[in-house]
Amino acid sequence: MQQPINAPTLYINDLNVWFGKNHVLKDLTFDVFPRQVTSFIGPSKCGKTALVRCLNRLNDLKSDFRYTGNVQFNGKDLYSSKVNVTDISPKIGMVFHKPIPFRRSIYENVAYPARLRGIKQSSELDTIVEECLIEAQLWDEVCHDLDASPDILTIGQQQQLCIARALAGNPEVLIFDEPCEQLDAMETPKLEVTVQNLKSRYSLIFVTNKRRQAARVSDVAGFLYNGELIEFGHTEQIFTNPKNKLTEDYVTGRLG
Amino acid sequence: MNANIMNRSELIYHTIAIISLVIVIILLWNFTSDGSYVEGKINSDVITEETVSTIYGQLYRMIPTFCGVILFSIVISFYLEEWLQQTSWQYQIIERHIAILARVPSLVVGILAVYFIFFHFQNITYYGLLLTVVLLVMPVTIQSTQKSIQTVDISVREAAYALGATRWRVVTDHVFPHTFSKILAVICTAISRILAIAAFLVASVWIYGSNSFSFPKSVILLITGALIVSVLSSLLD
Ligand SMILES: Nc1ncnc2c1ncn2[C@@H]1O[C@H](COP(=O)(O)OP(=O)(O)OP(=O)(O)O)[C@@H](O)[C@H]1O
Ligand SMILES: [Mg+2]
Repeated sequence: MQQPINAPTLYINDLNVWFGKNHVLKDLTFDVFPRQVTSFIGPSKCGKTALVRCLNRLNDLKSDFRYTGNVQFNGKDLYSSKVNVTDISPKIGMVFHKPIPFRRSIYENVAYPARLRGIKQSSELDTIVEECLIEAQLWDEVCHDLDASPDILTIGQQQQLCIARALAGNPEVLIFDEPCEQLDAMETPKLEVTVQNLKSRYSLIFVTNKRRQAARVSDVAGFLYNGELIEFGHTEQIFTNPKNKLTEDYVTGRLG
Repeated sequence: MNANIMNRSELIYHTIAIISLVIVIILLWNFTSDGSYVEGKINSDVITEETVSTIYGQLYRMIPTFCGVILFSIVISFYLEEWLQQTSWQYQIIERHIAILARVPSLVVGILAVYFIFFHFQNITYYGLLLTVVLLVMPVTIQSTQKSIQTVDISVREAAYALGATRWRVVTDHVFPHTFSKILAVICTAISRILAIAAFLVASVWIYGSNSFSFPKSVILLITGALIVSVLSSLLD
């Protein structure tokens, strides 16, 4: 679990975020490296969702969103006026806390981001759909029902489908915002395995409020509390030898 | 600061609303207080089957306009919900106008239409009917379409945006399909309101002309049509 020497995919410096008058994120500074799982833990409402939504510009949809600081994606300012949000969003894919399949077939769900990129040729789409479903470890289960509605799938399978769909957007970063919240105990380990398998190709960010899950899946972890990044470091260190008292209280279960 | 702007626009809005209300009441009073005004202008002998068929002719000719008004209302609703900032004063003012107009009973619009079209201007004009239909159909249609757009889960939009969909694609790929059957219901409601007002116009002219409480068969047909379309609308909703 050593820090690779290559450049960070995401570089966040002194990020502050407000929703209206509500100061939700305070002076966050950290890097996200490729081929690692970076997890964020913290009690409910501490700003985990607000943070990850800054990283793919979903917060722009909120009219009262305001930020200061610097967010760089591959060395370029993510919030620069030159950036086309529509082009950059799929590069930083997002899997939400509940699966959100679109009202179209399984195939069309996965093909959707490719179609948005302008790919029309069906052979090309077929390849993308198959590859992404294989990568999301759902292919074996759905390869005979590609034209069916996602309603036939379990919640866990729907979440895997959303992973496949995000992968079809050709991402470099993949964000998971409490992806297992709606999943049952049988489906959670499978998703965790999928996350581990994706690690070799993407920068992964994994938000969770389950401490053990963060300890299991991540290489680097950050502890957020009241909008502040209390501690950020190797997962092992955070969980076995936290430097901060608050972190210790949280990982040992005395807090939140 | 934001709250201040809202308050000022609200104040302006209410002032305008009250002033226009006063103007409408004064106008109505002028036209109605003098009974001879009405009788002097229209001759009941003139109203025959022919008048009624003129009305129908004009109504038929206006079918494309009616469709246009309905479509326009739907487009406006999408514009309001998807393109305009919900916190902007433009949205707030339009929203309030629509909220009030949608609550005006259709009978009020009907009575005003009969009065102005037949007895005041003595002519079934394009603009008279257009205004009637705009007042009768647009507010209700916009409001119901907006409501159906609001039922689309925000998470669906966000998921689409996160995949790189433009606003236009979000609307055409997700919001519109989600609301399609509700929009059909809204269209049916609009059609049934138009049929009903047509029946009302013809019936009042007929009663005035024939001096008796009888309807031409076509009025019954229009009412039946309106009822059937309402049922259809409730099925689709
Ligand atoms: N649109 C908004 N306007 C104002 N405040 C907001 C808005 N969205 C979120 N907040 C506030 O931001 C803070 C952080 O919320 P956030 O959803 O990021 O927390 P979270 O850590 O993801 O919590 P959870 O574990 O419940 O998902 C909360 O205090 C919340 O009230
Ligand atoms: Mg959250």
